[in-house]
Amino acid sequence: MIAKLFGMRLPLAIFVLSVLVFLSVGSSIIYSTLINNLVEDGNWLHIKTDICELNFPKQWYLDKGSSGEGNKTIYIINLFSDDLQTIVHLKFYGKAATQDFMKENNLTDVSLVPNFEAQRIYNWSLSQSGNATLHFVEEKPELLSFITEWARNRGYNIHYLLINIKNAYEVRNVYYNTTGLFISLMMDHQRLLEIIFYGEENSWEKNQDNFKKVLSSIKISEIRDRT
Amino acid sequence: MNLGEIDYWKLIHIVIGGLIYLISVFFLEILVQSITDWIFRTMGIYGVLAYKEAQNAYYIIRLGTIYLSSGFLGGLYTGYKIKEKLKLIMIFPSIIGFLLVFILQYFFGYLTPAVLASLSNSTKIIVVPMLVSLSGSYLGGYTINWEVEEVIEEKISLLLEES
Repeated sequence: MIAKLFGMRLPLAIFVLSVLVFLSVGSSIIYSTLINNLVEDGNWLHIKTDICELNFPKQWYLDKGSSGEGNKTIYIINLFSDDLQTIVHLKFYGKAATQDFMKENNLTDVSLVPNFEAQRIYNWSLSQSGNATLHFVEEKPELLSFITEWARNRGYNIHYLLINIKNAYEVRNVYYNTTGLFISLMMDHQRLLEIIFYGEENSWEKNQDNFKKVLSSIKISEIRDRT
Repeated sequence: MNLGEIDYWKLIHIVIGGLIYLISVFFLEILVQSITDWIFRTMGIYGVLAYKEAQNAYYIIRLGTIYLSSGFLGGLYTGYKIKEKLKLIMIFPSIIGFLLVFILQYFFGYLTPAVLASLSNSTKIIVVPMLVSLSGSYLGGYTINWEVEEVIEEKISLLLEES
């Protein structure tokens, strides 16, 4: 019987080796996943989900999932900036889910969706900070023309709203402003897509170019309702 | 010391082994999470965790660093205090510890019946970590009691010196 391995008692040596194996296998898989999905100059990742494929900065965090019962499927993709101060929220509704969402919220037209979502976020801000004030923004011609161009190239009829909330939230007695861009469009006249680009004012400004690149890279697959 | 007293103390040491496992899981969970977070942020590769393969890889890392190590520490204590019937005794520290971890996670809402409903989830959350912890517990218990040959070697060298 061998009593020692690498100068250690055999069970201890097996333990140390096992931890190293777990660590190296895990790290190798992470590294190969990273290498296999890098795009552009190695600073962006490409991901294909059930509903769409897109590129995003490799330092951002992406969270995806779906919800809904039966055929009321909603696919959600959240992209958080590296400072975790800005989010790009993509929400793909199935046909039945679209009808439900519109009905539940008394929305008669897709053009009302951005205002509804903006109001929802503003109400949430009010619950966080009593002196939050909502402002509608129109002086972002470059971004708005980009969105219009993006939609035209893809044949979408989009509706958008740009807002700014002063004193949206408070952290350690410091108040922060937020900016939000709310986009809604109907695909095939029956499936709603919501895109929300929202975050702390400075972080939002800083991440505008990233948002544009993310938006440009989105390739939407066919949305199928769950049966 | 009668037999009943010995069994009573063994039981206490096994439970303490389980508690060491429990504390180790929580401590290592925070440590591994913080270190991983720091590494991913420093390297600017947080996005890779969006991929299923990377999530599984992170799970493998957690198995080795959290569950195997916690089982090892629980087993190390129990093996230090209890020297007989290691094959049987070493099952308990990690099982007790794992059950405590499970109950706490359930109590604090980290685990729900819905999460555990699928076979793959319950395998990933219960079966595999439990087996890895058990392995760690045995390795810990046998590490502390792995001195038979060393003692014999020492005795032989002492005898040689005397002669």
